[in-house]
Amino acid sequence: MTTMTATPLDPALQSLVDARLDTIDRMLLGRVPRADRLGILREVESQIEELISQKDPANLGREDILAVLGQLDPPEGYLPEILPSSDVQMSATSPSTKSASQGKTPGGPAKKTGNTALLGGLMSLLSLIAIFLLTPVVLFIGFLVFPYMLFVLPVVAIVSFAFATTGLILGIKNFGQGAWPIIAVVTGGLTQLFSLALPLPLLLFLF
Amino acid sequence: MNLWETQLRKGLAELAVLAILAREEAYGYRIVEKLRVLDGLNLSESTVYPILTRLAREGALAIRTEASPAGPTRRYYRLTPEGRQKLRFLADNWRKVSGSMNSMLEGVFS
Repeated sequence: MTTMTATPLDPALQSLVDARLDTIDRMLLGRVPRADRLGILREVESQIEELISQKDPANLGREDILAVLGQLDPPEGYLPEILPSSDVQMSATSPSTKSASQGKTPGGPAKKTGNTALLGGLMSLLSLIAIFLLTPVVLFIGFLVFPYMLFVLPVVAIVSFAFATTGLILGIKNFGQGAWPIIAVVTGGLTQLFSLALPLPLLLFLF
Repeated sequence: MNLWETQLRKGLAELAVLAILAREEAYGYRIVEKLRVLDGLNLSESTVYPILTRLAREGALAIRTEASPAGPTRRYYRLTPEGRQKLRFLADNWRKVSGSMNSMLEGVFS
């Protein structure tokens, strides 16, 4: 990217300006429409030239350019923040603070919430299905074929309980985010109850 | 500055930009300079330039380029009829909201 100052800058100084513009360009790439990105860069470039033009061209040095760049918002300031999608293009971080933004993209946290809710629901549901499918098989083999198979029951119970508890926690954390958290809480609770009762056949066998 | 304050300022930034351009056309950095000094808004280039480019893309602003004898070519922005309409809409909303909030807060801290 090149500037169009009345007096061209020394290449070393120009590279400082270009580096800043390139960084802003990278910050905006893929986040705002191309036309907007080019427009923003044109304005920043113009502002830099405006500020440089206020300095003595005869004694313009690296420190002057760095001072000019230091007056600008940091490149992170151009990152869109968490806003409704219609406002994504206009958003940026708090400019007056000149602090780095958090770099979060719109929709990110909501998507993450949806994923964890789904994960919780699936974990609880699978643990309940597993406990219902495995228990009859283990009991059948344990009582009719191979009694020591009943020792598998506590293992099934512990694994199901752990899965159900994790699902239940995720469900509670994401409650109100659709159907999956409800599924997680209901099936997680049921699985916990069943897994607590699961070692009973083993106790009957032992005593 | 907390998130609420930041979001509030950003919400008002578009209105502020349009309001400045309703009085006269101006180039990007000049708009930033005018907004920077407004108490409470503290808007700077990283907020203003994205708004300018978006409003221009949406047809609310027209752009005219002019060579500057001292420095770079300047892009002057001015309101289009669509921009003026948008400004009126935003200003009406702002007046309603600020009026309601002011009456709600009246006497709260006395």
